[in-house]
Amino acid sequence: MRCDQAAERLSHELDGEVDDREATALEAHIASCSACRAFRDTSLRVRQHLRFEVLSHVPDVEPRVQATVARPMPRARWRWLAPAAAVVAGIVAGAAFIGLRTTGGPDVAAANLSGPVLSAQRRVDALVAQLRVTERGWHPDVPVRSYAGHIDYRAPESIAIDLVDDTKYPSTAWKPNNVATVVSQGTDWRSGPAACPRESQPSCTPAAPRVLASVDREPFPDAEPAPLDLVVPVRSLAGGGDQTLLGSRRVAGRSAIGVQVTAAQVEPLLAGLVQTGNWRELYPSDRVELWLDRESFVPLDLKVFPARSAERERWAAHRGYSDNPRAPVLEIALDDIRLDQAPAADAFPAPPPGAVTRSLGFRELPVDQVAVPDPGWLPPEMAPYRAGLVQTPNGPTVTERTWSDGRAWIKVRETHDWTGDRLFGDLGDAVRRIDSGAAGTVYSGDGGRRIAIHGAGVDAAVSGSLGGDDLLRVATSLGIAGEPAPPTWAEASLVTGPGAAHALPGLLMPERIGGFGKPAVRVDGDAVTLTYTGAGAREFVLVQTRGTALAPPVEIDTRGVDVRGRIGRYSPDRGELEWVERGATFSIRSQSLSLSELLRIAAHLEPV
Amino acid sequence: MAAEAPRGVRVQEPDPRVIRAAADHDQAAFGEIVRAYQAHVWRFLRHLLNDDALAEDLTQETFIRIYRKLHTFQFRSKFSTWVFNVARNAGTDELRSQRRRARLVDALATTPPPSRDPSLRVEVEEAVATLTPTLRETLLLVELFGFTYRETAEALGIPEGTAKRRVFDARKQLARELTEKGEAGAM
Repeated sequence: MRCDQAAERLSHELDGEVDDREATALEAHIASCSACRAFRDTSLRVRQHLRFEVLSHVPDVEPRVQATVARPMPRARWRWLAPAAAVVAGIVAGAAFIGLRTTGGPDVAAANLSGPVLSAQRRVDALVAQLRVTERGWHPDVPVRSYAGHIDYRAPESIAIDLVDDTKYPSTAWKPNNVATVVSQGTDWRSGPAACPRESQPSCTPAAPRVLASVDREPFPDAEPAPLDLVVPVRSLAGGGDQTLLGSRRVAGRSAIGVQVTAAQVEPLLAGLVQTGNWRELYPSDRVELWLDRESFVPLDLKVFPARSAERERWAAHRGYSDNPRAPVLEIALDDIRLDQAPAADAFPAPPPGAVTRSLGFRELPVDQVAVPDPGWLPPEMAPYRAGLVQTPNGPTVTERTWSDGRAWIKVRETHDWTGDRLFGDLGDAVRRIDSGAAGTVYSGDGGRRIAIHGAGVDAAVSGSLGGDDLLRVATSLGIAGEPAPPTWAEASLVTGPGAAHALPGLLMPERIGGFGKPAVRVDGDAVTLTYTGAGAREFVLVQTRGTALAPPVEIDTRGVDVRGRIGRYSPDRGELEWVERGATFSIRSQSLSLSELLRIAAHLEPV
Repeated sequence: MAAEAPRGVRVQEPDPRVIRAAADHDQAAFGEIVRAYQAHVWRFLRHLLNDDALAEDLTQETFIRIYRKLHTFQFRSKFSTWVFNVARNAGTDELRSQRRRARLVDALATTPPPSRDPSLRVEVEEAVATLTPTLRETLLLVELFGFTYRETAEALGIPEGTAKRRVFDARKQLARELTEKGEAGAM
């Protein structure tokens, strides 16, 4: 046995990976090899220290972690575990079709849907419809599953979705994936089989469904999509720039227009019920064909097709999926649509007996007992809706008021004991600093869907289902003088575009890339970070810093790519494209965009 | 006689019911998970980053990430390997951030200057700090927690053979470092 071979086998032996026979051979080698003996002794010494080290102090982070997570959670931007039921929720939308303006001549196949969709949400009072769902590739033994069900919606805060799994399973050992979700103002509950590893199916699925209920639910909570978010595709289409149009045709007996988007873009439609039931996963770049009713703007039909890329194939292989690129992995069709027909009186039942129930800490109060300032401006027809107080263990006391026109909504929250180290209001990572003139400094996050103001002794946040301009106008009319975030807060290093160019001369920014708003800009030394958000969960982060070489790659599967005529590299795990150009290192990172989209963004970078 | 190969204290797996309850925002269940893993995560991060205070901050960050991602845990892997994958990503993000902020590309990939402190603890920790982040994180999972190569590969998202090779490469480098130091100290 050669010395280098022996050392490697000794390493394996330390980790219990050699058999007795080989161990005997290694002992014989060590007896006559001082180098290998030293290798083993040193390795054991390192192990002895690391594995049995004596620690005089181990921090207890639990109180701080609990205090942080007890605060209202930001809406999940990226959840892909069980989206199909949520897609079902999202396929329902209603609106008068108020004029789709295409972006060019008669042959163009693109249109901006922001205006029509934002208007649409203010026109639906109620809806009742039937649903059909087909899911492919969930399990090798059950290649296709089908569901039938119905949906009932009453604006602004009641929805019920019920899906019955009518799949013919190989045996009775398989449990049907029946799911139900009900939201009715201050209460919600959902029922479905608990998630369980695919390779352990069917035995691991419990016989009884899991039923979880929440009471004391605040109006339009941040952590979960409000019913309106589920029924109107505002977040999926507003702010998304020009959408690719598929044309017009009849769907379910109605005149429809089609748009092509990605699964990432319709993520808000997927986010509602992801913790209910056992569903297959979707890939962010999967292609989605969405057909909307031309008259009412109701999505009538949605199909998700596997994206065609090496990364997608790798993702599928890792999960054991063998998807056919031509067959939709998920199909949802809406039928027998009755808009503005009131749901039945028992359409939103109370949680069933035995539901595991938790309180979300909201206490409803008369509006005059809630000390939230009246906005100086509100959109037309907005009237006071619910108001109250949220108190959670270790969290601040938050007062809040909401306004609604019966469909759309606005919420203002305020606290006087905010102790966080970032802005109140869960603005996310892509936060823009805005100088609003008389109202001082305000901050916009989540693609303009949340506004935060930090004032003297007060922190306020505005959110809602309306456009970002309306929310900003409400926020700046609250009478709070906005101050810059304190130096120790995460948002302290936010600057405007010119500030970034000053920090890093030669800064490049993407030009002519539709579908993304203005970036959030952060400067740390000579590193400039630009965060862009688009419709749904589409986002990317561009980082530039002075440098002439990239750091060593962290991931094993990093590979070389051609970027802007230079050799760069791409890590599928991190969704990160990196290269060096003109004395600066560049990184574009995204969990929702494909490599080809990142390369397209890179190609459009131009000096500021 | 075969080499002594102590396996140490293995990281325990929590009851799946506790994981499910925590995923459903049961604070008590989540607290149980934090208490069970925080010392392990902190030890891993302090060796990975060579900075106790930073490790404490990132331990906190790791559990906040875990809380927000718990609903995505599908029981396809052991819970402990999933937890260390989250911790490793938090640590890696920090390393990359440091690289960008301070352009410490070379320094990070190599080592802080060796000291002459004669204690074994400092000597071993300094030697571990000379490893590249990639080798360091792989070795730490095996040595700190007794992860098998398969579990280590799962936690890091790499092939099992790669994990095996990295552990060997790390040990080779440590043996060289510690031997040289021992010889220098004896002079």
